[in-house]
Amino acid sequence: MSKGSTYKLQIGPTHPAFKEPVRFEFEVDGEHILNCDIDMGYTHRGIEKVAVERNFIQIIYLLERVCGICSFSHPMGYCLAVENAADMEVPARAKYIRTILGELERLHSHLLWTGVAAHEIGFDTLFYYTWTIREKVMDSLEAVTGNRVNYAMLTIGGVRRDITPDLVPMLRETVDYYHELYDKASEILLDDLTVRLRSENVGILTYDQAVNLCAVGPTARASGLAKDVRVDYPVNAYPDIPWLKAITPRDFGKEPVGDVYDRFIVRVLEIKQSIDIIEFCLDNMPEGPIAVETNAIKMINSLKKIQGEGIGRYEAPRGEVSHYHILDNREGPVCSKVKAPTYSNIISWVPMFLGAEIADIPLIMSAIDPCIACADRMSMVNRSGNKFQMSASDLRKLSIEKMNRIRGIKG
Amino acid sequence: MILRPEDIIKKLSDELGERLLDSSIRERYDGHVNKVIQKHLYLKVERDYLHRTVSLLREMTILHVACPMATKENEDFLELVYSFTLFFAEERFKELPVMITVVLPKDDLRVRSCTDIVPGILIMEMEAQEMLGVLVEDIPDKRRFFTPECLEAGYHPLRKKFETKAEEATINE
Repeated sequence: MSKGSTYKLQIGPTHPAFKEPVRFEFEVDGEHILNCDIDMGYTHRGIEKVAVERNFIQIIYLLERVCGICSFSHPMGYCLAVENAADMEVPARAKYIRTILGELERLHSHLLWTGVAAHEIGFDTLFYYTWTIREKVMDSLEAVTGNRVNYAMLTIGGVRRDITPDLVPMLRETVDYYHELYDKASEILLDDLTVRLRSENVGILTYDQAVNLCAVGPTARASGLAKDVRVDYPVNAYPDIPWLKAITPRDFGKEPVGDVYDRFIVRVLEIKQSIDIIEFCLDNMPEGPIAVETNAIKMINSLKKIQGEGIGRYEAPRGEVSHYHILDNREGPVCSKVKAPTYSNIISWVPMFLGAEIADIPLIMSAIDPCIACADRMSMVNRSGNKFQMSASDLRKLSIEKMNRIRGIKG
Repeated sequence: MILRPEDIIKKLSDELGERLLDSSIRERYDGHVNKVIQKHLYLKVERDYLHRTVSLLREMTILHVACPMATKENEDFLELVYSFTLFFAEERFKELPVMITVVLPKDDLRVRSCTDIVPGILIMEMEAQEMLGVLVEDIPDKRRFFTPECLEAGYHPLRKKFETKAEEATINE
């Protein structure tokens, strides 16, 4: 099409290909994208404002709701920030339990993303396969924490529940399950011609662009920027793992291009890395207490005496989560600042879209694994044309029954 | 080359003189078997020298914006805390978080944009404009990003005077 015959294409805020409300405006020449503008703010929930009206312990559970998929990572960033401000040393066993939970979350998140990406390229067999094998890690999380998401495991200065000896065989079985599946799964995900044809040289973010736009997580690493908070900034048990490194496509024997295929590579290799980290932590788990203080009132009272500020940074599955909290002799912080990985990656979308084709928009959009502002939990069910309502207590009862079933406890 | 926080303070002090109002280094430890020391650098600079400070840091190494600006709000002024990280993706556990505080009087809430040094800071500056009412001079995109364009002027949800009000939610079948 000749110059001057471009047209504007609006996609979103709600669109079947998107899992969250975001509006794109593309300037298009035929099938090719010449320019892109992004508009957000459709689900801003004001969580930071709500946080400064709650106490230190209540905030943990509030911040789990920033994102369902990263529901361990956000309270982790918060606890690290408050512990940093209070100069608090967390017991060693708690550090290992935190690491195991964080890696279980990464495992399920990366499997979820590979399924979504497979769906976006029309490879639904792969979508069903990855989401089926993901159920094993979801069951493990439920067995350990009682929930598939929003685990309520963290507290300031440690964790709330131990990984008891009776849970260890189940976790080892999960590790073995993924070890056995890994070669087959990685072959499908990285060698399949359909995946390569749709993802190679699509949605490119160069190394320089990743640096300048402050990209994070697998999005940055796929562009060759070996930035990983677990490696750059010591938290939890990560300093104890001697072989830990930031994964880039070079670990697959390939120079990074920064395309969607490279983001596949990074996430698939990180699945293997997470399995190995969980195994390492299970093998080296120290004995001892799991929290500095188990009484929430005492913890709040001790934090109330503090004036200071702290930053908490954690590598969520999608990239760096950052929290900045300011303490000023109150029962809660006077300022709570939260940064989710997608926040850093939003403007990286623009160079990824330029020069791409319309058909690649859903794939490029999902390639940064955008963080969805989670909707309320389902309360209305429509089955066979009959509507019935389940209360929060009904859902809780069903949840406990399922958890007990997974743990092998007869109710 | 990875610089020590002490060296960074020295360089900034030489360049900025009294404009560097305060500086401190804080340490924390992590790990169990392998205890690792982590340093944090805290700086306070005059508002009009924020851009120069960020520019000097950028001359030393590449910069990453870690977190949107945190705030301390008092009756007469607003403190903005910028969070950067330096020396990431270089040597294991050698990343250096740098927090820069600037004080803005409430009757003159403006600060210069740093997007020409770190383009990735754009969204965070937009957030500071919308949520806190800080005028970011020279920002390349003056539109609203998080709040609707139709929102009345002077309506900044993360300021203390802005009160939240719980409203009853109605679900329609």
